[in-house]
Amino acid sequence: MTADSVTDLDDRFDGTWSNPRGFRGFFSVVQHKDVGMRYMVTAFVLFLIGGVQAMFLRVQLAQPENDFLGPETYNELFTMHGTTMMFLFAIPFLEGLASYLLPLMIGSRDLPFPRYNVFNYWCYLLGGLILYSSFLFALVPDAGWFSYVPLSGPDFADRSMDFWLFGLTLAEIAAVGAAIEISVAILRTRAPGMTLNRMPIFAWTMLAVAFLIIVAFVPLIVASVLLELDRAVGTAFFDINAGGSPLLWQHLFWIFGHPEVYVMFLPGAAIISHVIPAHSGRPLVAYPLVVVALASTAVMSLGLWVHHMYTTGLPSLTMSFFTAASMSITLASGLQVFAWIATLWLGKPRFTVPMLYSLGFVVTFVLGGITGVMVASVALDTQVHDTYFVVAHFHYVLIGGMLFPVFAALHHWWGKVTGRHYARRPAVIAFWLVFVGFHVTFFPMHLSGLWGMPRRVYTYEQELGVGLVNLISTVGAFVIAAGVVLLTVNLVISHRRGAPVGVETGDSLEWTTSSPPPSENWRRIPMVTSRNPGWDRDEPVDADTRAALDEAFDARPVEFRATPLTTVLSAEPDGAVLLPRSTYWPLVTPVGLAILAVALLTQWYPLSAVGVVVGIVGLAGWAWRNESEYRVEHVRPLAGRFQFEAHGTRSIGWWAAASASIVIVVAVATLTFSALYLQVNASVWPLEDTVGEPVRFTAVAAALLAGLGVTWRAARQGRHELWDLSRPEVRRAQFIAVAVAMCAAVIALVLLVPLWLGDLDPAAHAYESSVWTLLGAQVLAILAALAMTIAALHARMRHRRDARTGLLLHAAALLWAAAAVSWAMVWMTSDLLPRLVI
Amino acid sequence: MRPSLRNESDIPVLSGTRLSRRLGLLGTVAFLLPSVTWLLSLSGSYVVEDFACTAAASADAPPSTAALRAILIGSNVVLMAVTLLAGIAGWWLLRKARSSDTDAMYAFFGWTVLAFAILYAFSIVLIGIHPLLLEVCA
Amino acid sequence: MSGGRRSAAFAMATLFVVTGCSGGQQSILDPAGERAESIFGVWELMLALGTVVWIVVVVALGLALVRKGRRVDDDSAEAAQVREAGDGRSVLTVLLAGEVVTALIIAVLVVVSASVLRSLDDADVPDDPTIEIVGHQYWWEVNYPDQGIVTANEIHIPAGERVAIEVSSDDVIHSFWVPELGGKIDMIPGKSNSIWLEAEEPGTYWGQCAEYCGTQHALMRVVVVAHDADEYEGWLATQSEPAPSRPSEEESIEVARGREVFLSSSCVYCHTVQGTAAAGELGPDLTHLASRENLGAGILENNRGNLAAWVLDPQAIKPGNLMPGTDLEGEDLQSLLTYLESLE
Repeated sequence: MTADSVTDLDDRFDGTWSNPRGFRGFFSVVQHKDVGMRYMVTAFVLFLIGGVQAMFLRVQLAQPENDFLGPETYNELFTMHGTTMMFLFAIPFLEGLASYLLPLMIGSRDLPFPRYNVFNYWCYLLGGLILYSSFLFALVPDAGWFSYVPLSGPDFADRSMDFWLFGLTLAEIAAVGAAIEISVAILRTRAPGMTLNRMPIFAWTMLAVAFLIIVAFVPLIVASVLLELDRAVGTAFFDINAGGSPLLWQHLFWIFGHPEVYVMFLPGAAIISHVIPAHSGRPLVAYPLVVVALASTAVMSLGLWVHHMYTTGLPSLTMSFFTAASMSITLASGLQVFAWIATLWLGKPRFTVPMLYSLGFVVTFVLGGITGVMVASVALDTQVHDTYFVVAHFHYVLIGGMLFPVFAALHHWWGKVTGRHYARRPAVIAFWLVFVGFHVTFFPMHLSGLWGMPRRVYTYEQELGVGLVNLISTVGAFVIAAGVVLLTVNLVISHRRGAPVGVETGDSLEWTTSSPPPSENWRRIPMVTSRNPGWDRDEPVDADTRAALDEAFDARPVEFRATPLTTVLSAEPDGAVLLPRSTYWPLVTPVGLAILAVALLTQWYPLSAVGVVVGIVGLAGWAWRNESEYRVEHVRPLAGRFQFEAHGTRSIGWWAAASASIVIVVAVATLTFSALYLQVNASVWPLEDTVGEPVRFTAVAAALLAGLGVTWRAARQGRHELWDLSRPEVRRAQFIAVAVAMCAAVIALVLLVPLWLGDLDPAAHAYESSVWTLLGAQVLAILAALAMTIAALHARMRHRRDARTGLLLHAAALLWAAAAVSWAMVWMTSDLLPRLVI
Repeated sequence: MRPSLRNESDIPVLSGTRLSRRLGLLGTVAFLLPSVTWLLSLSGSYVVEDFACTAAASADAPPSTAALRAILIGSNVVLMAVTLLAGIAGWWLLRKARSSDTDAMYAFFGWTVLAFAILYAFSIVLIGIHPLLLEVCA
Repeated sequence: MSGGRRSAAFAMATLFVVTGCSGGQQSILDPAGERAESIFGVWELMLALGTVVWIVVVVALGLALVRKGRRVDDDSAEAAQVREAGDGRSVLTVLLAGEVVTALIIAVLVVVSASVLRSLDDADVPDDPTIEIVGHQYWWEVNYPDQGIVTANEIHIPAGERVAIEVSSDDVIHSFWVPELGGKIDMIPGKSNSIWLEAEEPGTYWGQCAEYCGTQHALMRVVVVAHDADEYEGWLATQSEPAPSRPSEEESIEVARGREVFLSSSCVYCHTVQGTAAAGELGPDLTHLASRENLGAGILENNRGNLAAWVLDPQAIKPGNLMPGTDLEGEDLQSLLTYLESLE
């Protein structure tokens, strides 16, 4: 090959990876670093807004019986402060950080589904805008960040709650999407050689967090939908007069809410697990134990939710199970703290800015953990629950456990991300302001709580004797604010004028690429041979594999974007994934969802049809564009061996479909739990007879199993074939399978929809409300399976080769399976179990 | 070379030997098992206690507390035993790693599974002793 | 690091807390009854253990940071490797020991917590009196069903006895909490929860709503007044009496006029005065209004000036509460106030 043609190939490679700039770029870029950066910037702006709200709250509480804010304004501001910090800052910021860092840390060129990633960002942004538009209409939500019913229900809250519900639901859809993105990225797109036991702690953590988000955030979306149905349709899920229960909301909310705390804390801890080793020059001590600690923290966090409900009158034994669980989690957290201290002990810690934040984190978080053990005790919690003691506790855990690490991360990776140094002196001063200000603000809150000050009070009387401690808290809040402003200004200035960074090192892989990283992250895909690839760069690698990888991925492929796929456990390269370039399509569906939300908010229902149409057009356009990219010349195996369209779990699409199926099953399971919970707690259930019609229900089951069977079978056909083969009999079988599956879907819908929209009166009783909602969810599950089947048909008509259609049929089969499983749950809950009671 | 869609022989083997499918599966299952038993312990205890007592209360038929207590303790003992079983698998993987010294994966699975088993077994004990400390359906 | 300084600050603050130098109205740290005291015991244990754990962790952290300056006698690479391996092992041992200690602490706390809970559950509580409290936005309805007494915002109990309390709510979720006597219990619509309280000595114990319940959650205060046995019986006797419904010999013309004003105003849509035609149920029962110490759910002292201010413009005092203002003037107002003050 001549020098010229090499340069030419290099140019084409760069052209493939270049992104449009400016206005066009803003709406069309899908690359993970741009999207991650956007997430982080948006979230940081919202963090500053939430901080300003907190300052208003603190000024109001500076002295007893103050009248700086009225009660309505105060209640709105504390609701928005909590909602903003939890839903619009903490979670999205960490998603953004993961979106930016993960591919760099695990050695891939982009996330596996870049368009889905930006789709999620748009959902988050539009959700945030909808929530904040409530200020324009003076309909600011004021029911607190956990919005207990009945206060947030149809009888007591005005339309402000609808802003809250729609805004949050969009943001949560984004979170669930990010979780799918992150988990598939970590499981399947790690650099060759990055076996599970060499995975960076941040990747382990995000994997655990993604699992938490899928099992815990879906219940929140379901709960929000149920509450909105109560408010808009008049269902009775939370209505005590018709079989509902206000405690159902608390269960659902905290099944989400407690894991959410760990969704924020665990990435914080992971940041510390990288910062401490990097700044003390020693690998993390007891790596396997830290993995155990973070994984068990994630699992145990699913079993703590009842400790938010100790005062609701549950049986003592029930509550004590959760005391045991809440206390056990200390063991896991403790393990991580010990590992960090041991790393410092064995290393040579340098007092850099990220290290200062890490030390501040340990000191603060441990205190928050100790008060956490205190509130885990039922007896003590009945006193301190809903007081400022708890406010102090969770700010120690969240600011100490999440914000300090985020600030550590900002400084640790600042040079990597921007390519510039920040000024050290102002950064150190900002740290001390934030750290001292934090303790001055929040330590006294333990006292004000113990002295009897409940949370969420816009004022307190002189006689309570908490004036002085509150004044101290307010002074501290201003010190924190000064620190945050200094930190922000320092970083913004350094972004424009900072000196360029030279070579920086750290333990993980991202330090082996340039700062800032190029669009493709690595021209040559790295191979990993140790747990600390940032340090151990020169170890010999497997030469054959290295050569094969280079042939496929060293500034290759040039015409389209691609990154290797590797196996889950041992990260052996077993394929490649085609990555999309910039496109507007992922923006369309979120806009449709936002239009839908606006239509429902304004109760101008014709507009909702527009929203649905825009949403569907967005998805269809996306699917069309997707098939256009899967051209035959794009999916030729790279270097003759890295395949794009290998069968089953070896293709990336399988993982997307499997994740979607899990989300559907979790959602329907949540609905099932809700219905069973109400059934157990209601005196009469159902009122007269169940809706069950054995013939019809069996027919639906048969249709769903038929859909599953034919798609599954057709997906298996031709799986041993060559990648570009096209055989008439396979082609025919695929067409038949698609036709049968579509008929099955139509039959199932024809059977279900009349029942769903027929005689059921969702407002009559919680039983009918839950059946109505379950049937609705089932219809959506069937529509998802149908849509995937249509996508397979679309692929069949667009491509000559059989493999692509086979893959999409496999994906459809997974969704059919989800529909069948969810039907089993729906049938059981709506008919079989209530029948037991009659 | 024309790779077929199914054939896995085209996947390069890193670091000499390929992780055995069976041992990989054993490691993965043992890795996840203690978490599952713990979740079952907590959710099972909650469901048995809360749902049984609430349902009994709304049906006005007080349940047999002795039977409930036996169910709660019995199921937790079984779950703890399963958790410890996973720990034994971890121990075995650890020994495997020492004898063959080929793959650090086995050692990793071994250590983590062992630690998981001890941590969760202790935690299941903490949950399981409560029916002895407090009244069932009080 | 300022580990040392911070732990000193923490120790001082701890001292501050333990000595209970709060002086506040409703401090958890001033338990005045059996229930609050047994919870306070849990707090003391946890505070002591927690403080020790925190100090140990911070000291360990401090030592880990200081240690980098240690002297090394033999700085050859081999010696470093041996040292490293030895360090690694000892650190791992310490780490596991730390876990074992943590596990022991947790086991102790779990058992202590459960046994305190059990002792609270098992306590013998007499049926009489049983007080039913119903939460309203933003006040407390207090019923003594056995005695047929209905009052509001003030709960009178006999000192030295455990008193059974049943709570529920008429609108949203509230939480009943009198810190000096015990922990809180949520008042949930459609559900009845129970708790018992005991006050060792006669006296007044403040509390307030602890679950956010809307605009005026902050000013939803409550008092528990504990009496010795005789005084309590006397209070019961007074409260059981209905208010006079028609002018009698001993009452002044002013009171009679005030009753006219009351009965002909919008007051009666929401308030009850037993013995008269006023039987509204949205607001507090006023039959014995004048016997109460406070107005507006514990936020104003009960005197004529405050009563006037409250009747005329309650929204100025407690914005967002559900009582509208009145535009009574001059004599009408004075008569109404005199009447209300006569409802002892």
